[in-house]
Amino acid sequence: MTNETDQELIARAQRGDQDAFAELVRRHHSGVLALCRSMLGDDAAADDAAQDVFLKTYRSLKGFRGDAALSTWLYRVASNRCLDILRAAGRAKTQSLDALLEDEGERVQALVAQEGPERSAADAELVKRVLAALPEGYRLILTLREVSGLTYDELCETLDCSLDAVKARLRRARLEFAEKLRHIEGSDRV
Amino acid sequence: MNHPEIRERIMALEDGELAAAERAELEAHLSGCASCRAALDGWRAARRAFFSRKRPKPTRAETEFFVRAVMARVEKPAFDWKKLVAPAFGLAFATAALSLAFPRTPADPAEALIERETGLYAWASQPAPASHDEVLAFATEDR
Repeated sequence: MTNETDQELIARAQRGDQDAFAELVRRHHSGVLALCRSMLGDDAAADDAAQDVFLKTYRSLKGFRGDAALSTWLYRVASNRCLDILRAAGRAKTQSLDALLEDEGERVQALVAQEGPERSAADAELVKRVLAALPEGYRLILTLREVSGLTYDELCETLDCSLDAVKARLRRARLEFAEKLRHIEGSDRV
Repeated sequence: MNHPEIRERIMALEDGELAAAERAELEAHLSGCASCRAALDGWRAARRAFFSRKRPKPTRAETEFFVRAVMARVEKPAFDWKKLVAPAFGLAFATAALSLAFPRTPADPAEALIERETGLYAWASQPAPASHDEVLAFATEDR
């Protein structure tokens, strides 16, 4: 562990110091992996994707000028990598969110009604399936905001769009997701 | 404010992006509007169910394993011959220049004599004949 800043480590890595790059990987592993796990819903695939993210970052390190934080850059690379993987596997997706909510309505409803953060293994699996069934654009912005905790400004840089666009996309994703969940409750009551 | 505008601001409220005055205005509306309140509560329930679960962070050992896996895939930098060749040429050039500027002369006269005589001996000495035939050939040639 070193006290050097990311910028100092990047400067060393740009001069070919691989130990400096290893330290950057060590620092940002957790954040990149969490994003990949949330996006892909599969630990092994997320681990491979996270490795790809750091390799791609290493190869383009010479061009990094430090206009944004390294973490933002990593999130952008990770977002693109995960979207590529999801698109490549698009045909393998089995259920839309609507179909899943129709099949598992009661369980999802029970999950939403739970107060505590504790989850059984079956519930955790259901959470993964619901998130995996979200449209990829919604999943990405919700993951970046709710899992990775990015600010609006960081979302702008990561998604390469304006502040107004970020707010609009985030609002739409949240309200539509909540609305679909509310429909389950509504249909259950009828 | 109408309801669509309120819905837009609900999420800004959630993210702590509203100024105090806007926040107070929105909260006053929410306390009296069931449908906007339901939209906010709906999102909060969804977030609690699907995004509040904290996954354990990777352990130090898992991170080290990951770092090694990444670094094993990182290309090693190519060996830079220029870094080695340039100093070698420089050293050779400097040595040659010094030898020309300061030719070696033995300080001891005895050493200088040995060096000169040894060179003369090397020039004058011939290999000894190895057989009678070589002696005969030498003698015949002289005649």
